[in-house]
Parts: sequence; C-alpha cells; structure tokens
Amino acid sequence: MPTDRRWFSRVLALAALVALAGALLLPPAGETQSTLGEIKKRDKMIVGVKTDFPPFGSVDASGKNIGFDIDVAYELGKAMLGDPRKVELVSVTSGNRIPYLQSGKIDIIVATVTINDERKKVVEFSEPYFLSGALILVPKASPINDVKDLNGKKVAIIQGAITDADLAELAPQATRLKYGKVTEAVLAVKAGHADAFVQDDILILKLAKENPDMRAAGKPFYPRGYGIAVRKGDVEFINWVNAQLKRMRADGTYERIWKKHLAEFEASLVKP
Amino acid sequence: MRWQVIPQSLPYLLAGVRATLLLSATVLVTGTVLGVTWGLLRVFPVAALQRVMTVVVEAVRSVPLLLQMFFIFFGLPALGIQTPVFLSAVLAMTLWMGANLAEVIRGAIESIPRGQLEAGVSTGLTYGQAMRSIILPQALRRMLPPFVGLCTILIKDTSIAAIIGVFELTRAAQETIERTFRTFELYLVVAVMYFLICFPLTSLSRSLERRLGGPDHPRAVLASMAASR
Amino acid sequence: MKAYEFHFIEIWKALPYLTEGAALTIGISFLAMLLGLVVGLALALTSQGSLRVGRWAVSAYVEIFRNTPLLIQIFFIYFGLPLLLVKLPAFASGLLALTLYSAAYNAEVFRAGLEAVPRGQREAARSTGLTAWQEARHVIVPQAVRISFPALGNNLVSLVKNSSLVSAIGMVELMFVANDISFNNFRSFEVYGAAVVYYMIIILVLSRGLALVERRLQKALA
Repeated sequence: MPTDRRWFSRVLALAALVALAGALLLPPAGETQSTLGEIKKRDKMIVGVKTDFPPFGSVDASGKNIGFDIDVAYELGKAMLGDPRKVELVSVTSGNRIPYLQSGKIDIIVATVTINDERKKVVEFSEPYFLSGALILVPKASPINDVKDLNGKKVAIIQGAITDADLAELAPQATRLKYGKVTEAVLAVKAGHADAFVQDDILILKLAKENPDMRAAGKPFYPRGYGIAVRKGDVEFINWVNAQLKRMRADGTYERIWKKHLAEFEASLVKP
Repeated sequence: MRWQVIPQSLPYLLAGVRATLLLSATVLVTGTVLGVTWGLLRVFPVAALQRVMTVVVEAVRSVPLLLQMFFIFFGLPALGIQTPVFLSAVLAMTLWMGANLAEVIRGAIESIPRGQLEAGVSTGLTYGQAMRSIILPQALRRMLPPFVGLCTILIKDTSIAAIIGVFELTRAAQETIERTFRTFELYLVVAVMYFLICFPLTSLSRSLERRLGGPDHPRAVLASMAASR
Repeated sequence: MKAYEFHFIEIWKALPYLTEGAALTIGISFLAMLLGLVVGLALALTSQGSLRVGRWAVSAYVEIFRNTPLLIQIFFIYFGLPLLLVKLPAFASGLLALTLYSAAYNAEVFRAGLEAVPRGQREAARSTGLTAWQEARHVIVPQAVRISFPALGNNLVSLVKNSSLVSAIGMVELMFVANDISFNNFRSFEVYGAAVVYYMIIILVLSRGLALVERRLQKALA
C-alpha cells in the first residue's frame, strides 16, 4: 500500500510538470479560419442567449425561446445567412456565457452582456444596444428602498454578473450571496435566505410584475450598455454586427423589436 | 401547498425520467466495459501494470464527479477537445463507473484465497485457465451485489449532470420550478420518483448478497463497502 | 478559431481563494462526518434494539436517504423546506444534508460491523455480569468500530467528494470557488485543473492518514 501511494504522488507531480511544460511551450497557433467564414461555411449561426431573463431571453409555455435578444439574434442570422431559422440558440447564464464563447460552443453572445473593462479584455463588444441600470427586487413588505439600505442585509446576485463588483462599491456592508440562475436567486428571496435580489432593471421590473408578492425598489443605478459579444480578435465579425445594428436602427427593425418586448416598461427605464 | 402542480407537470417530469434512464443505460454499457478492462488489468500479475492501473484508478476516484464534468465540458476545449453536454456527462460518469467497478472486481478477486489459484496452476493449468475456471466464477458471484449497488449509485449520480445542463429528471424539475416556483412539492415528487427507480435495485442487491454471500457474510459486506464508492 | 492561450499565472493569483475553498471543503466534510458517525451509530444501535418501531423507523430512514440523490436532498432542504417548515442558511442546509446522507451509509456500515462481532464476545460479556449498556460500550462497540473502520474511512472520502454538490446552493467551498473564479477570469482549463489537483491532494493525504490510523487500530485493539 505505501509503495502505491508514493508512486502515485510521484506520477502526479510528473504529470503536472509535463502538462505545464507542454502548455508553456505550446505555440499560439494562428487563426485557422475567421468565425465569419466558419459560420457561412456551416450555414448556421450558433448564438448564446438567456432563458431565465425575461423580456430579453426566456422560454414560453411551449418551450420556444422568446425575447428581445432572441429577435435580435434572428435578425443577425437572417442578415448573414438569409433565413432566421439558420440560427441555433444555446441557453447560457451570466456565469458561463463567456466560457461558452471562448471554448467555441457558440459563435456570438446576445445575452444581456453588460459592457465593462474586465470583459473587454477577453471579448469584442459591439456598440451598446440597450442601456440598463440595476434595480432591487424585494418582498412587498420589505423596508428596503434604496441601494444604501442593502448594507447589513443579505443580497442575492448572479454569479458572473457585474452586480458583484457594483455592490462591493455601492453597498460594501451587504452580504452577497451568489447563485447561478435567476430562478434560484428569486427562490432565495422568497424563502427568506436573501433580503433582496439585485440585477438589471428590466429583469427586476418583469419579475416584480410576474410575482405579486414582490416589488421593485430603488431607482436604476449604475446604468451601462448591453453589448453583443464575439471572441477577441474577431474584428471582422464585430464590425459586421455593428453595421447590422446601425441598419436595424435606421430601417425601424430595432424600434419594432423594442415596442414588442419593452413597451410596457418604457417609463421606468433609463433613457440614453 | 399547491399539489396540483404535480399532475400538471407530470408529463414533463416523465420525459425527464426517460432521459435519466437513457443516460444511465448508456453509462452502464460504457462504464462496465471500461471497468472490466481496468479491473482485469489491475489483477494481472505484472507489477508495473498494476502500479499504473492503481494510479489511474485512484486518480479518477480522487476527484468529485461534478468537477470532472466541469473540467471535461469547460476545460478540455482549451486542448481542442469539444464535447457537448451529454457526451461530457457520459465521459465523466464512464470514468467514475470504470474506476469503481475496477475496485469492486479487484476486491472480489482478491477475496478468493490465493491458494486456489496456486493449486490450479500446480495441477497443470495456465494462469489464464485457472483464472477462468476457478477464480472468476466465484468472483463473479461476489461481484454481483456491489455491482448492482453501483448501478443504483449511477442512477442517482445522473442528477449531477443537471448542473452542467444535461436534460434529465433533476433538470426537468428545475425547469418546472422556474415556471411554477413550487419547490417543496416538486422536489418531493422527484425524490419519490428516484426512490421508486432505485429501491428495487437496492433490494435486489441486498437479496443477492444474502443468497450469494457465505458464512463470512458481514465481513464480506464490509469489505465490499470499503471497495466500492 | 484562435488557439487557446494558457495563462497559468491566473492560478497563482487565485491560490489564496482556492486554498480558502479547500479549507472549507475539508471543514464541512469533517464536521458532517463527525455528526454523521454519531447519528449513524445511534441508528445502527436502534436497529439492533428490541423496539420494532425503532427498527422499522431506522430502516425507512436508511432506505430514503440511500435511494434518492444527494443533490435532490440538498435542494429540498435549502429551497423546499422554507416553504413549509424551516429556513436554514446555505452552510447549515449543506451540513444537514451531508450529515443525514452520511449517517445513512454509516448506519449500514455500523450494522454490518456490529453483526460481525463474534457471538462469543457477547455471551462472554453477559456471563461476566455486564449490563447490556456496559456490554455495548466496552465490548461490542469498540470492536465494531475497529471492524468497520476501513468502510467508514471510505465513507469519509466519499463525503469529501460529495461536498462539492453544496456549491449548487451557493455554499462556499472548493467547487464553488473554482466556478466563481473561472466565471470571472474566464480561464476554465487552468482553474478547474487547479481544483482537480487540490481535490487529489486532499484525498491522497486523507487516504494515507486513514491507512495509518487503521494500522494503529489493528495493533491496539486486535
């Protein structure tokens, strides 16, 4: 038995060394083919979208993806491949959307990705296509009305979302509980594990509407833009996306999608 | 309590059950093949081979299944290996099943007194013939209860695949909860469903133990518990 | 697609957080095992006792916890119970779930261990005038523990691996930390790889420790 264990630890150390050496010596290969070319060749665009974030990305009773981002994704697919049905939608969360993009499981993210400097280091962002601040979701009877009231309270946030850093700055005494999915965060507030849930205003407004036992508190803080994201280095692709966004604003497509999903919240949203 | 959510979501949950059984069956096949291979290699009387197999099996058994799934799904693409969720789960669980089955096989074979093998060889049989005609038939009987036990654990562990997004019963429950927020009722019902699937297997394992175990029964049970987790 | 660029320096930066996670994993596993041993032993003794209700209750308990997935148990305690009974924070929920789960498996091991104590011991104890309680405490249980030790050690190793599931309810331990880091620095291979190494080290050290204790026990109680 002891011999086996010694052997084991030696082999483990050796394996770690080999992996390290191999990785360090691995030459960064050049681009095999641009993503744009790959999509055209495949004749299919794979888009990462949210399924727990109405009205940008959710699933209706029949299992169909619906939402603002979904419609934008279909528009992009139609523009590149001629048919919105050539778009394959993959469900992602705030936490795993960039790993999905980086590992090649999706070509592009249209999933409420807030533009910030950290993320700019690893992805290419389009021009902002929506402006969103953060809001607070609390039980109806809660005394919380402002982000400062969150100090000393337990606040649910989503792993990988910018709210983590934001709250560290705006309410440093708040205890942040991280959950992977929106539903878990909402369940946590309902169960009393958390006193509040902080996320993008549009989501909070929608959740407050759907859950009569909860309400939205505070004014949208820290407004920032959502961007469409592609892999770092895919400059050709992001330039094309920007051209599409420009076109959509010009020919009324953007307005149409906005009216369809966001009209009911128009009053409470941050104006650009 | 809103118990009506259960009949309303039953069709979706049953789809989850089907997916769970499909995933389990797939891993059962691949895992058994891998486990038998590793198990036999493990007891093959070549010292170097045994050492390598020990390292491999112990390495696999030292990492949580959830982490293996995450590593295969998110980490391996860095090396150029792309696996969709279902395959990632199958791969991780196959490794798990293979390593644990190899241990069960080793435990069963080693529990048979060496004297028998030596006696067989001394009467002129080769190692292979002695293994096949004397050791393996006995070992097979001792392997069976813990093997069935492993199958039960396998079915339960498919729930872990839900965390990386594989569709099976636990995921079906989570998606239903996303629409209805009835956690208590739904997790209870899903627990019952798993119970109904696993309990027969656990009972089978126990009755096999009783029928195939000898007078050394409690110690044999403990020995197999010490080997197969 | 561009080839992945490995940034192993990220592991170095994440080391303190990862180590904190590893410490929490070890902590909750040991705590759950301790509690699970006590509860498991109590269950096993009850199942050997004279009360039929007790035997049946223990049986039901063990079957429920052995035939349902640990993940469902964790979700039920954390997300389900608050609707009806009691709301436990993540750490308590995770600890409770792991304890109850491990107690069920420990009970089975203890039961087999108790049965494996030679009959002669019990009769000898009775004939020297010990009460049932004394007999249990001084003769049966110590021997049962020694006999059960390897299987119990195995349960502890399992527990360390199973503790990774409490990450699903947001409890901070090694798996949660690995996710948290990789979702923020986007270096999945490096971070999950580091977590793999951490778990291997923890379990390697644990196994050696258990083997050492087992040898000492054999010598002391044989």
